[in-house]
Amino acid sequence: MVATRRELGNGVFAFFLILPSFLIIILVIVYPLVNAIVTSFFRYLVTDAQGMVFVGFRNYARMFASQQFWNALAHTVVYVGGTVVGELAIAFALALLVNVRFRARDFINSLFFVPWIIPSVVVALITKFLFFDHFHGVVNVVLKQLGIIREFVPWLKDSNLAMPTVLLATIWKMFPFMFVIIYAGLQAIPEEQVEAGKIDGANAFRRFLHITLPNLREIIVLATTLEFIWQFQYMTVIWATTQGGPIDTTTTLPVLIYRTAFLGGMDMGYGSTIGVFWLVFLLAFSVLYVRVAGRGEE
Amino acid sequence: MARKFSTALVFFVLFAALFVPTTFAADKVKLQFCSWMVAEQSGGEVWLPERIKEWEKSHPNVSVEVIPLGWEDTPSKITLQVQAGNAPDIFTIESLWLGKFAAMPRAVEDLKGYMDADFVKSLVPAYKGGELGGKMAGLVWSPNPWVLVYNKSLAAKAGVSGQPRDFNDFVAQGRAIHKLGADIFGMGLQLGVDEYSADTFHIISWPNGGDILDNNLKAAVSSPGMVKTVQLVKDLVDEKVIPFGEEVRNLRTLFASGKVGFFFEGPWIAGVLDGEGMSRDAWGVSAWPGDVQPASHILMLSQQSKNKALAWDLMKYIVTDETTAKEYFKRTGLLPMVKSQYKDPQYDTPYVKTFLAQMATLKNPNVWRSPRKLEIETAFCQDLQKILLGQGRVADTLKALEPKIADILKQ
Repeated sequence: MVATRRELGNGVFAFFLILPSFLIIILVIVYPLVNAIVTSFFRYLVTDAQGMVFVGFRNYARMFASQQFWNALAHTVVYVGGTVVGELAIAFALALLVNVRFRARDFINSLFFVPWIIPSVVVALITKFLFFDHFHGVVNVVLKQLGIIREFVPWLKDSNLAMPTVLLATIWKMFPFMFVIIYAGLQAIPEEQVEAGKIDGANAFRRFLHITLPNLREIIVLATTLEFIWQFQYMTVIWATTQGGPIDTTTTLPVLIYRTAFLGGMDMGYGSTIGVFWLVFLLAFSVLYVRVAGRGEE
Repeated sequence: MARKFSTALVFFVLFAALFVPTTFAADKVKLQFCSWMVAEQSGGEVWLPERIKEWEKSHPNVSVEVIPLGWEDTPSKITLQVQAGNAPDIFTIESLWLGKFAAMPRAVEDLKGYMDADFVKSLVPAYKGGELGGKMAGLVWSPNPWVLVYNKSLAAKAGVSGQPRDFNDFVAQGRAIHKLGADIFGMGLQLGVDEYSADTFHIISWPNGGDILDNNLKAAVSSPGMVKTVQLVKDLVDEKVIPFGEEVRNLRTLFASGKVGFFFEGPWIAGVLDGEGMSRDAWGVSAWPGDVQPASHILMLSQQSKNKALAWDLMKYIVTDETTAKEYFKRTGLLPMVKSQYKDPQYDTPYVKTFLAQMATLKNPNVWRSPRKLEIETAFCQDLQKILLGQGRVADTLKALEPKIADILKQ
């Protein structure tokens, strides 16, 4: 069917309206993405007079042969997994707690939101202050006073403790998002289902298993998927507390990419390589996760 | 239809107008001066902008934008600006970055064409700290050797002089100070994973014949001298004479709180400790009985500057103006570059004499000549931390580090 002049006019008008956004998306997303993929095939140190030298897959070979890279990947999985699971557990518990009517409920809910509005760098500074291992680290002072520890613990400088410490800080910072989503989901559960469960003699645990969880499934999948994607990219708390140390035990992929591409010799080629791997990994993970986690609905 | 088209056109033109440069031909020439000395509690953050305003008065057609840039951010941010073609006209670096910026394409102007013989003669010999590979890459602004800074009260209580005769005496005095209390450290060493920590490590490795790279820029970390030094540092960390893993800013706080007996710093420490609330009577400086690397503040003239002559005039003013330098010393502790200014009685102090004497022992670490300085020093510091955390034996770990450094040098 031949488009009428009016339909063509509408189409051109619509095109002009979306053109600015389209240009911005190309400039801010598509161009950098393509640039990074192309750069990953070059040796390119920003401070080097040689400029960009094509090396094919050499950067990828270097990456896969690098123990530092595999360690960073493992740390990323631990960090992301730990953060999401920790956030989910805390957010769920708190959401269930405040899901009953009581006087100061709205005030309590708003208090739970405080960590979310504190900037990440401030959270990192608070963490450093709390977990400082010398005379004024609050956590150490309190634990020592309670007799739980005899000597101050180097929370951020011990290779076994640094990751749990930054995990804790990140969970504290990020759980409010999960809390808000789960709380909204709990509020939306139909009362009739809950009442029906009670009439049928289901106790609280069985109602949670068979009514609450199924109703929240889609929300949990959405919230955790978003959190996975965000946490894969999140490095502020780590960078501002430990800078990936001690001995790279808190170096995740974002930290490794930042150090490689933006510090020292500024190896953009190798940094882009790790970035491309990270993108592919994250895409594959997200698709797989949504497929597996969402399977139960069918 | 026409109305829709014209609406869309107007909308598009408005959007496109966002990208039209809005700078019009200005009456004033704009210069940019960038330094951490105006970004931090250094003592210079108020004085320098005031003095630059004075310079502007004698150049009414020039306006200077003073850009604060933190010390830690300086190498990466300036590098990116150089690559992007919008570097500030004048930026400040420290000696350890001289190699990086002197070798960087399109970064800095060779100042040999700007510095005439009379100007050079008026400066203290430390001006050579701006020279590299035959190029005068920068104008030294504050000549800064590292020295020992010590807490007078802790030294007195421990019955030590605070002025070690040699390396072994330094270690002994540190141990004596630590005996004053479990929470008192005899000495502070920068043991973070950063180039500053690696650079200052040279001060204690050189007396033992240790180095990170040798004169031929080959890895030398497993030399007997380096093994001896690292083993000693491990012992001192295990004894809690040295706090583990502290970087420079925490060490300053610990020192100002009376928890550290000795640590290594430069003349800027006066302004820094003022900011930490520590009285200048509570601490002193002593010469290190050995070589030290320079940590001079150097002004660089960007090759990309569109007003090089004016920028050079401002650089000369900042470095040589007597009123500026005199008050700058009072507030920051940083020494002047002009020989004649030292006649002023305010420089006739043990503080100044210590730094002047230490200038005779300045030595650049070999690793400064490598373009992969940061990566090499990071690898060294990471393995050093592994050793200090008991996760690797000294000799074995340092031996295993050498091929890693060789790999980095090859990249």
